[in-house]
Amino acid sequence: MQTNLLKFLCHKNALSYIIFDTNFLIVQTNKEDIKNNSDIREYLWELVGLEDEILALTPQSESIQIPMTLHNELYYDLEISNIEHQDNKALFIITMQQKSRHTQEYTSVLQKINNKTLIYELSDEKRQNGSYKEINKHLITLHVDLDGYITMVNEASLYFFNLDREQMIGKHFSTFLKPQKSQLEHTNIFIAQNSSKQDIFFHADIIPLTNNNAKVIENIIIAQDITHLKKMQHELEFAQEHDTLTGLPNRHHFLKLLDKKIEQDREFFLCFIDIDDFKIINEEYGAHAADMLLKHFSQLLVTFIDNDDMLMRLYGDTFVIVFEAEKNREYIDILLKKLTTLFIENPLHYSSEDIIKFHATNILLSYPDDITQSKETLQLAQKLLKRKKINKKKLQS
Amino acid sequence: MISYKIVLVGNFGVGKTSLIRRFVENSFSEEYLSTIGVSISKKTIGDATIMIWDIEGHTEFKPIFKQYLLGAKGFIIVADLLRQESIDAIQKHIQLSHEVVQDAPICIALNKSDMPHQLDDDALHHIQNLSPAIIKVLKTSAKSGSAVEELFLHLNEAICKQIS
Repeated sequence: MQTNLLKFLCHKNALSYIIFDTNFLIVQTNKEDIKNNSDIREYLWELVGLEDEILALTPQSESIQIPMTLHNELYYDLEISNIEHQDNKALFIITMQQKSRHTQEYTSVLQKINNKTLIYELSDEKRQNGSYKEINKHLITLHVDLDGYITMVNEASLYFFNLDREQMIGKHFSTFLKPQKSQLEHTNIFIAQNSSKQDIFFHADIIPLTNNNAKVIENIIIAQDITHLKKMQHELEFAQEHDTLTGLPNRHHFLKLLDKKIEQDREFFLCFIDIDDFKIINEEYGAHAADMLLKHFSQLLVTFIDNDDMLMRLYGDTFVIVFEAEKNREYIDILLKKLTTLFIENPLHYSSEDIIKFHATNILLSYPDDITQSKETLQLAQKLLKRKKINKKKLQS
Repeated sequence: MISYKIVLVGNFGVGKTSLIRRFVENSFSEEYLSTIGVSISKKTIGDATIMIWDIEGHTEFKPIFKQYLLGAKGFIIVADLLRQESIDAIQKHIQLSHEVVQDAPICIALNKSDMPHQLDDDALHHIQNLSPAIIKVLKTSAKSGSAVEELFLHLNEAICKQIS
């Protein structure tokens, strides 16, 4: 009765069993095609390699499970346990539970899903989505309500600010992105500090989100790092207002500064200074030597003037010193008298054979006594320098 | 005569089943039918009978079932040369294999080499250095059969040396 019942239950549940000993020889089974006393590993390859684990099993230990193993296109769950025999010899039982028809159908659905996923993984669409993800990593995206309070942030934002989502949501967006003034109209330039406390410039687009009635319910701020553009802008601005040979501010910069100073309407002094016979030096020693002289001349003057005074190169060999507002004429006159000695004592050692001696002529103009408008200043300076040089030559001859 | 178990580990769709089919039956099918659960094949080389476990590949939603790796004497970790994620996952598969069987020898199969791919020598070198247990890194093609036999024979040689 007991054997019949076991057979009935095994058949009903599509369950097979094999009992085997410590030598892996089959002792008993309900499978008709398997012979007793043969090695179980000939039938169930799953057991190869698991010998040590099986022999270590005790009746109390957890069974070894091998789910979803495929045999003749049917799936089985295998379970190996230790069953103690009456005379205390260890015996093991392996049960093979055939998976239900439902599971078999489910596996073919899974296979279809995997198939479609693989096609997608190898497709252009996947590559494109990958590119979008990559772009998104560099774009800070904040969802804000109509009052500018953050309702949602993307991963790029959290990474950039090194914050948790909770630390950003509910705060006003300006806590993180500070608006900046721009020379261009209708541009949204913001500045934000990254986790390393560096200032990063962003250009932001604000996209309104509408509901079905075309009413704006939220805004999305998409901010793109433009720090490199800002750096380029600074470099261009610097290049625009500086002389490439000497590195000094140029005429463009001088005229802007002059306008500003005239607008402030406070007394100030300008010393225009020109190298004597620069043209002759250029012809005699060549353009390179002339350039070296201009550099040498500017370096001498930079070290000569005070830190708060400014030296600029206007054109050719003409320079200007803009004196700091507090300096009076007497002080400047004394200073300028020392220039002659400075140049005599510091000729240009162009090469071991060529030591270029030079002199310079200067004139001092003051606002508001001599100049009132920036436009006329350069012309006046040129005229006065020329006149002084002629007089100088007359005296020398 | 010795029998032992090896397991092919890798992401889904990298060609584990195709490599086994090429090695055991010398055949190939263009049709992709992903392995669910585990299927075991047997191949005899000289005095060694190898039980080759073809297990369900790692997917985004389902990790590899660790129990399948139990008792393996060696591993072949397979990646698809056309899918960078599958190559990036090699490290994770090495880790998993060694969690179950410490120091078992590993061969790496970078499969689908018959297709145009961009993996250069630097990347190959990098993969080789992922673990001292890696005995060989090969670009294989289950489709053309290129380096498939070499892959299994190399692992067999290492395992036989270890067992004897």
